[in-house]
Amino acid sequence: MLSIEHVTKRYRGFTALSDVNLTFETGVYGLLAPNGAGKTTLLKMITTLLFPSEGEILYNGEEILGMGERYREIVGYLPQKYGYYRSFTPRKMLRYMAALQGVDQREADRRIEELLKAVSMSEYADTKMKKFSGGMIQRVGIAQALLNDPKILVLDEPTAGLDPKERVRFRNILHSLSKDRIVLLSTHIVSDVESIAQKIVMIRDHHVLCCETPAEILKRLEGMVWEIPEGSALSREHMILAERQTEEGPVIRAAGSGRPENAKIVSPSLEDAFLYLYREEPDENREEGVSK
Amino acid sequence: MIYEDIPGEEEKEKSIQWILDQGFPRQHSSGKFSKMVRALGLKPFFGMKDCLIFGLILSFGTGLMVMSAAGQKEFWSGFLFFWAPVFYATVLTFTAIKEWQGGIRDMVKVTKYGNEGLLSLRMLYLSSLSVLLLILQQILFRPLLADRITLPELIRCIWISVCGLFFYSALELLVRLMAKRRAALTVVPLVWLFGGMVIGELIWGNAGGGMKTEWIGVLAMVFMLVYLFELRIQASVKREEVVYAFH
Repeated sequence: MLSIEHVTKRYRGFTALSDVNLTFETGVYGLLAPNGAGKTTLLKMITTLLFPSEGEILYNGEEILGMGERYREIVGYLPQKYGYYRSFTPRKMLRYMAALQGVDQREADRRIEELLKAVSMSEYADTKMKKFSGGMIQRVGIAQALLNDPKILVLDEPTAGLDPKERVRFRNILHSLSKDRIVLLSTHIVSDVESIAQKIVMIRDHHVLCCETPAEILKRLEGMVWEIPEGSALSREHMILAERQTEEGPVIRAAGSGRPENAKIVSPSLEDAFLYLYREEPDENREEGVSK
Repeated sequence: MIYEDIPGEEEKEKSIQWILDQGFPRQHSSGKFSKMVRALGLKPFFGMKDCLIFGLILSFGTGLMVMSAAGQKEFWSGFLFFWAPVFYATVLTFTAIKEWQGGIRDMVKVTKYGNEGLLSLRMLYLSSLSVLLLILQQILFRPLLADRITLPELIRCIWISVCGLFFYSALELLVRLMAKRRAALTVVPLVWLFGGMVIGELIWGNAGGGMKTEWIGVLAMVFMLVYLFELRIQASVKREEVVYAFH
């Protein structure tokens, strides 16, 4: 179990995260927040790249900074920008990282073969990485993060820059890897986590907004999401979420309390929740009664 | 009959760990260091081929140029102290730049041995390689000197250059341990570039010119021991990443 207790992180007067309290057990957790919210800061503290200004992070009751290499042995990390030597092949890169992880060479070779197969990169094991696409490099990065069979797998925006097909492939890989380990996945793309995360952590204004299951988050918006034809009256309290084309014409998807005129109630999605919970203050300049 | 709660898995593991800790006390840092050497072998040189080649070219190139231009024993002694760390400093600096550009540092930092462990091992290997290189260069450059040096003078030159190497590397490591990594990689080489020649000339040119070879050897050993001591500290230091947006 990984516990984050009253953790605050400050940089020279700027507070990146304030009084964070979270507990993680086996399973996939999504950190869903806009850019700059503090996701990477939190993940870097969990991986010991950064130290909390206040509070502590415990693994099975023991402070992770004090554990030193015993903790790093059980952590697998894929940073936001995966670093690699361009002239290296995946096999060489993984052998290097396996050695740094303290994995025995024979065991490392066996695991490398397994992992390259799992991420569909066996065919390119001996091709120089400078020839790879972004998706291929990311897959090598995932394999690298799993070399030491970590108990805690930290993935910082792993699907950034991947096309939709690669993102689906990544979700499938992650689903198969989530058994018997804690997986922390940060993203600002809702679809990355909505089908695989058992709980979603949302961070707003440098505080944890919630740590709930997708169903619990959606309950917050139950009865508050509407579809109305474009041009219908909409109060300033309603937030426009999206627009789509229907056979009857364009419709606006909006969230807010109180039923707008001509509105049809619809089931909220996680995307709706993300947009609504991270909304900015109502635009006072927006003319009341105009849905576009 | 008295029933007791069966201990859970976590409690059992903690008890076993406690027993093991009592029976097998934690290794000293030198034991951990040698374990790291056995585990990593020559892998700290991975990704450094181009930096090593560049360092060799720069070291040999500058040495040959100066030897051909000056060629006098007295000048050479003063220059040796200053020139000795060229290979070491060049490879370390360019490796750091390469790792920073490639974005490798974060991932390495989260591994079992971490950045500091890997760096300590690299420094140890590089300093050993530098000593061998300095000896080889002294032997190879000997014929280029206008005034031929004798074997005892050659040995003296080797000790002066080993002195320069470990004086520089101990200083660089001290700055790294006390200040930021950036300062060690930028300030120390610059200071050495402008001040190293002066120090070398002062010690070996005039004031140190009369120092016995044995004492130069002792001084080199002292600097080397200081360097190795700092390396041990470096291998186990916990360092937070610098977030440049806020510094």
